Amino acid sequence: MNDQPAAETSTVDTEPKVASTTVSQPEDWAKLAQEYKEQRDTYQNRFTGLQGKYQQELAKWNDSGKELTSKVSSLEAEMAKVTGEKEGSETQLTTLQTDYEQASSDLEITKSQLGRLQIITDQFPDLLKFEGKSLLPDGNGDELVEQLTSFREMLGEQGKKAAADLIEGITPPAKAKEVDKNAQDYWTEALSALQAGEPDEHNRLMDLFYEAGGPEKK
Amino acid sequence: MADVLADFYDKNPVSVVDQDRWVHQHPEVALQFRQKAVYTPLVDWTNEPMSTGALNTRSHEIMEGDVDISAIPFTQNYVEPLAVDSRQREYTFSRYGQVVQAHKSESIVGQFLKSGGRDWRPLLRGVLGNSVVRVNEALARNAFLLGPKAFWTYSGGVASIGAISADETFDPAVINEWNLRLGYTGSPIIPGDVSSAKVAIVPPGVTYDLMNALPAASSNESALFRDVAIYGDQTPILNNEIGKYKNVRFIQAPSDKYGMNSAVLYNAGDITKQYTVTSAISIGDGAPDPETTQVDGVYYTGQKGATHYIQLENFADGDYVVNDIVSIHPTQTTDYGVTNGVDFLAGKCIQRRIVSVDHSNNRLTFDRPIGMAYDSSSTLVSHSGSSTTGYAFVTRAKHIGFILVMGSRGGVLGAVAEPLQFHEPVAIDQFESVFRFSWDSYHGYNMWEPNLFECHFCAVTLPKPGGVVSS
Repeated sequence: MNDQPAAETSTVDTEPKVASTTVSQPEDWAKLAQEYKEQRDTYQNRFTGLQGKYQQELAKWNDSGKELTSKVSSLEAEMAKVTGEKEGSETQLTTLQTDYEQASSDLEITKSQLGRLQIITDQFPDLLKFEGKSLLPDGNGDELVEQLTSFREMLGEQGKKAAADLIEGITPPAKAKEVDKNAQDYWTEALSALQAGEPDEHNRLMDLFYEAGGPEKK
Repeated sequence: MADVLADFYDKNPVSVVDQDRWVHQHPEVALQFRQKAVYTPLVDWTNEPMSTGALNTRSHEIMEGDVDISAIPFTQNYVEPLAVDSRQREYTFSRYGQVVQAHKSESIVGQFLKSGGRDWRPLLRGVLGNSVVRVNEALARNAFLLGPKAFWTYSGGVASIGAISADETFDPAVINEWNLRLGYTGSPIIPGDVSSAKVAIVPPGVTYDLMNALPAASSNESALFRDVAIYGDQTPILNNEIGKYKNVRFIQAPSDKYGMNSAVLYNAGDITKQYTVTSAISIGDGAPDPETTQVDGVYYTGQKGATHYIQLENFADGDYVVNDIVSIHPTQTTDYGVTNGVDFLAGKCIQRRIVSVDHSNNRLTFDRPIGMAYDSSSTLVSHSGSSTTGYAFVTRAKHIGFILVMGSRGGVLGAVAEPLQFHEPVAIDQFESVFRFSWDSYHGYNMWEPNLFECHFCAVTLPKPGGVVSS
């Protein structure tokens, strides 16, 4: 950019200003005025008639517009109503479809349970009580048959072992409650704990020994 | 691990008795032995006298004959049979017992009375149990010292305890000799341990001297010391075990709360000064007046009515020094190479730390009262004084470290004839405040096989308030 201010320039109009003058022919001003007056009147008369016509037509179109607007409003309301009804119907349809699917599923489950019960009733009636307490494995069909067969075999083995234990007399006795023990019992256990190198347990048992009467009750 | 150590510490005069014959105090005493004993578990125990009732029992063993390795002629029909011979050892027992007193204001008495006179455990965890353990610990230690002196060894190769000089501190070189002499010939000392591992019971001063000696050894030698923390997670650790060096496991005998240690033979060496006690000492004498003087600036010790010193024959300034540990003993012996020496195996040989010396009046005051009476007088000749009627000697001499090294079990046999018995206490004073609890037992410690252990003696560094006492 140029830092210098722009030099002001001025044009000196060297031509002298002179008012222009039109040179025309003289006319008959009266005659022209008359013609223009007649034209004005003619146009005035014509316009007045058109204005009336225009007013009439405008009123007619206004009425017609109002009627159309009313009809549009009415139709819009009707459309909204119909649209709402449509949506309600769709919702109802969805609900019905869900209900249908649930019912179908329940039916399947019921059928499956029925099949499972039929298998248990027909082939494993001895396990029916286990089913009543929901102790049997899940499943159906061949898989269930296989599982229940295995379950019954294991159950049989356990039962045989328990019976064998009972017969042999090696079933361990239920652990006696400590409150049922006497001083002699605690004494014996305390000595065992001492031998096993468990001084804390020994002390605990000796506490119980004294609580149970100590040497007087031994 | 726990049961291995239980096996080790169950070698004591209580646990050897069949549990069918245990009374309710016995389990707690067995526990006390497990927690506190150092020497007693090194003794093997038998309860055979309980069934035989014999005071002296001779144990008989068959000796196998020598074998002749000469070839036998093809036509020879008869050969000499191997010789059969036998050897016997004898063991016996004595009666031991103590009575301890406690005031009813002491918590252990309160607990005892509160429990209706049946639960002895609080007492057995305190003064009564300590009494049983301390008596047996002292007897067990002394049993090893009662073996033939020919088996004793001394640092620096000197000839006797009396010849040990201040320079003869513990020398780790002797450990090689232990490994040679004390080969494995019996059962392992620690159940489940490496069969040839040896155990050495050392005083803290020997640990101090050993640690001082290790840096001077070659780096390979000193690297052989294994701190107990290194092998402790693989091997059962004995109470007070500090480490292992050349297959010897070192157990540091604990000091009691007065600083006395059972592995130190106090004043057993060359005598510095020895004077006679010229006035009878009563129980409770010897400590400062608790109303005027505190021991170590803390303890108001003993009774106001007691005599607060012991009276000696004339001695000079500097003969006794504050914080010296002196021995008070009624008899002298030359058995250990010291003329007029302290008989550290005597029953009434005790130690005390001097807290004040009054050489003008020839009196000594100690850190705590003397717990037994020295009231039997005779004509005594002290090492540093003259012949006079006296009651005991007060000796200041070199302290000797006693290291018991075990090669394997079986060196000493303990025999129990009657199980430990406790006697129901009664109040013995007019105010029914002082209770006496007593125990007695018939058992004995017998030298059984001197080849299996070694008694080693050396000069020993001792702690004292603010420093150490070098021998």
